[in-house]
Amino acid sequence: MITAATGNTFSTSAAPALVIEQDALMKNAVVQVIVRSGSLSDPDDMPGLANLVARAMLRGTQTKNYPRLTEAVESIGGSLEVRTDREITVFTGSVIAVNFNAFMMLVSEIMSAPAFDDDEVATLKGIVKGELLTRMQQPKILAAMAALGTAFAGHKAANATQGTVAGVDAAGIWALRAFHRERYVRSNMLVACVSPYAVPEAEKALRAAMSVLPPGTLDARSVPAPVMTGRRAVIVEKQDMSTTPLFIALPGVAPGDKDMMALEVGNFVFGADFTSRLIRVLRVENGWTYGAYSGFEQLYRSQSSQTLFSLYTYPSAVHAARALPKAFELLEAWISKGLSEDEFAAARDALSGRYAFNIDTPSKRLDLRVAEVLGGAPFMTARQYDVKLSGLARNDVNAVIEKRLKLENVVIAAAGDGAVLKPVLEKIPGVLSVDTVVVSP
Amino acid sequence: MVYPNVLMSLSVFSSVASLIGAMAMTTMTTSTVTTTTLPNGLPMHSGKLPNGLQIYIVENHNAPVFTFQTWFRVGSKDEKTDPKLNATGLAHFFEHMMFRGTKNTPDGEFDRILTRNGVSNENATTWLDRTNYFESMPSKHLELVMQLESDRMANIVIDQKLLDTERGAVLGEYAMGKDDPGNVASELLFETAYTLHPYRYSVIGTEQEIKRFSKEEAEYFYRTYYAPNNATILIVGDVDPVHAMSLITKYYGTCRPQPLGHQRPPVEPAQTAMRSVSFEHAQLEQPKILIAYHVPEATHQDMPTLMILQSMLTSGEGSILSSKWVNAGLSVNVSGELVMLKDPGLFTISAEVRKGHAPDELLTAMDSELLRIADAANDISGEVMRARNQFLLSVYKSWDGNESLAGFMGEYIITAGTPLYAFYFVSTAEKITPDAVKAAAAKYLVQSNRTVVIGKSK
Repeated sequence: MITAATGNTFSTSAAPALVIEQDALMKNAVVQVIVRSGSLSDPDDMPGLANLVARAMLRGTQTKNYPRLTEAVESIGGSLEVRTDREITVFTGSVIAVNFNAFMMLVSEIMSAPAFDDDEVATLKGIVKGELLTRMQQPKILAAMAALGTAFAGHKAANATQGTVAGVDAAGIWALRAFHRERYVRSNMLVACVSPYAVPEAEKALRAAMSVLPPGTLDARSVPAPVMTGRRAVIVEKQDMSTTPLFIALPGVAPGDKDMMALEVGNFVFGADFTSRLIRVLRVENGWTYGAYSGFEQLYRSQSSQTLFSLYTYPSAVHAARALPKAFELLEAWISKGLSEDEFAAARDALSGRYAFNIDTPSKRLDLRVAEVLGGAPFMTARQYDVKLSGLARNDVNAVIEKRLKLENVVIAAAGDGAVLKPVLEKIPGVLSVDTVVVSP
Repeated sequence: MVYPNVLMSLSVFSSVASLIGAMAMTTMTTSTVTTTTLPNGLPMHSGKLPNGLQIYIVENHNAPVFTFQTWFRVGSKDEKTDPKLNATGLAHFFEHMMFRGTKNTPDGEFDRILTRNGVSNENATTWLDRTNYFESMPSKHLELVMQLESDRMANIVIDQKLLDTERGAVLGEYAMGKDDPGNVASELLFETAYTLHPYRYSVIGTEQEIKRFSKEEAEYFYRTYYAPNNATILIVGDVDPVHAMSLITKYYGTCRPQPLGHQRPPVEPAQTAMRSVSFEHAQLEQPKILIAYHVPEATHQDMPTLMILQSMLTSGEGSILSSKWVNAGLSVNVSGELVMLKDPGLFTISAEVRKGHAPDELLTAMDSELLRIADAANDISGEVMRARNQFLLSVYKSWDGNESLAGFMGEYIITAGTPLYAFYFVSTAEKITPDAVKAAAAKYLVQSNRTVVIGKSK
C-alpha cells in the first residue's frame, strides 16, 4: 500500500514500512533499519537487553564470525552502527554507492541470522560495562541521570538506554535470542534509505533484504508520564569540579503534539539559540557560564512519547550560587509572562528562515520523514512550514507555554559539592526537598 | 584475497593535482577568476582581491542556502611567537570578542541580525594555525552576511567592560575543559610531545593569562592579524558566483592590508627517546591512555599514507586496534586522529583502559602489530584495501551538504594554501600501496618517536 509518493521520494506502510529518497549526486548510500523496540522493552531485571541484542547482532552471523562479518562490511566501504533509544533501536549503515546491493545482503543476514555466540557476547558485555563506567566521567551525565532517576523513579525510563552493569550481567544468551526472535520482525521494523539509485531499484533491494524476516507483530511502547510531586532538588556529590552542571526538568509534550510548533517558537526565545534569554543573561551579560540551553530532547530523545522539557547549564563552580537561582528565575518568568511582541516576531522570522536547513540535504529529509512515520511531526516543505508558522500569534504561543509547561512539578538536579549546593537549592522558591542521590553505572 | 574495485569513480581526482600546480603559478585578481569542476561535480570559482583577500566559491544549488566561512591565518601558535605578546589564549579570547560589536554594529547586533534572518550554525573556532568564523544562511541574505562579516574584519571595537564580561565566559569554557579528563590528557600530550614548537601550548591558554589580557593586547592582536591579506573566504552553496564576486569587491575591497606579525616558529627537534607522563583526575573512572607519534606537515608526501595507516589502526570495528585492544578485552574503545598542521603534526591514538588491565598491555599489543605491519614478509593488502575504503566512505559522507563540504575543504586553506588540496589528498590516498604503508609504519610509528600520556583515577 503506497501512502506517499512524491517525485524521488517514496514511503509505504506495508511491513516493513519503507521510506526511500533518491539523490543522484550522492557517492554513498545511507540506510537506516529501525526496530520499534528500545530500552522500554527491556525486561525489568535486565536493563540494557535491547542495546545488548542490537550490538551483539553486529558481532557475527550464523555463517560469518565477527572478524569475517566485519571484514565483509568494511572491505566494501561500508559501516554499520547501532543506537538504542527508549522507544526504538536504530541501525545506521553507510556504504560506497556501487556496493549498495552487496551491503544490503549483509544487512539482511545480520537482521535475520545473528549468531549470538557465547564468547562474542561475553566480550561485548565487558565493552558495554566499560562504556557505562566511562559515561560516569561526564559531569553532565551525572546531573542528567539524577534528573531522570527522580522524574521516573521506579520505572525503567529512568535508566540509561545502555542499561546497568547488573542488567548487562543478568542477560543470558537465551534472553538475547528470545528478544531478537520477538522484535526483529517485519511488522516491528521501518527501513529507510537515501542513495543515488532510482526509487524502484532501492525499494527492490530493501524488500529483498527484509523478506527473510517473519511478519510478527508491532511492539511499540511509550515513555510513561513522569512521577514528579512538587519541586524537588537532588545533588550528585562530586568534589574537585570546576563547573556545576545543572538540569531543571518538568513534564513536556510529545514531538508530534499539536502545540509543539508554538512551544518551539517559545523555546527559541528562551534557550534554543545563541541569542536566547538564557545565553544572553547567564553568559553574555554576566559571564557565569559558557553555555545555557533549553529544549525537549536534552534528557532523552522521544519518537512519539511525552518528553521532559529541560533547562541545562554548567556555570563555573565559583558562579554557581548566583547562576542557579537566576536560571530558575528566568524559567519562571518565561512561563508566566511569555514572549514580548518583538521577541515573538524575531523568533518567527528566525525559524522561518532557518527551516531550509532542516531539509537541505537528503539525509536530513530522510530523518524527518522517518520521524513522521514513527509518530513525530508531519514532514513539511518550507512553504508548508511557513504557512503553519504564520498562523501563530504571540498570544497563542504565550498561552500554550503557560498551559503546557507547569512549574508545579519540577526536578532540579546538580552535580558538585553538596555543602555549597544544598543551601543554594534550598532557597529556590517552592523547593520541597534537597536530597543527595547516588548515580551509579 | 580478491576485493571489489570501488575506486574507479575517483580517477577524476588525478586532474586536480595538476590544477593545483597551475593555480600556484597564477597571480589572481577578481578580474582573473579561475573556474574548475571539483571531483564531486560542483563548480568552484576562485580569485584574489588586490588587498590580498583570497576567495573560493563552490556552487551548490541543491537547496536555497549557503555556508560562509572566513579563515584567518592566525592561531594560538602565532601569539606565542609574537615577541609583543608571548602569550597563550589570546587568539581564542579574541575570537570571542569578534561577536561583541563594531563601530557600526553594537554589541549583540551581529548575532541578532543574523538570527532574525535565519542563520544556522553560526560560530567560530580557534586552533593552532588558524581561526575560522562561519555561518549558514538562506541564499537571499548573501549581501547581509558580507556586510556584517566585512564590517567585523575592519571595525571591531574593544570595550573594556565587554572584554571583562567575556573573560568570564572564556573562564567558563576553561573550567569546562578542566572537568573533562580527555581534554586534560590531550593538552598534556601536546605539551609533552612538543618541547620547543608553540604547538605545545594549550589553545585556551592558562587561567592567569585569561584573567590578565588587556584591551591594548586585544587591539594589537586585531590590528596585526585580522587583515584581508591574512584571510580567505570560502562560500559553498546556492550563490551566483558573479554576483558574489561583485559583493566581495564592494564590501571587502576597501579593507586595508596590513604588515603581518607572523614569526617563523622554532623547529621542533627530532625526538630520540620515548616520553611518558601521567596525571590524576577526579572524573576518571578507569585509566586513559593517549599516544602520539610525530609526523610531518600536512603537505608532506607521506601524509596520505599515514592517513591510510591511521584508518588501518583505528577506523571501524575491523581496525587493528579495535581487534587487539577492544575485542581482546584490554580497552573499552579506541580512536585515532592524524593531526594535520602547517608545521609537523601528530599521529594520535587514545583509549579508555578496561579495569583490571594496565596501559602497558595496550602498548605491548600495539607494538607487536606495528612490527607485523612493517615486516616485508607479511601481506597487508587486504587491510590496506579495507582502510582505503573506510577512508573514502568518510570522505563521501563529508560531501553531504554545504557545511560539511566546507569543513572538508576549509582546513586545507591554512595547512596547504588551497582548499583544493582536500581533493588532491584523497586522490593520492587512492594510490597508496601496502609497501608504502609498511615504510611509513617503520619510519614514524617507532618507540623513540612516541609520547604516552596515562590518566588515572584520583
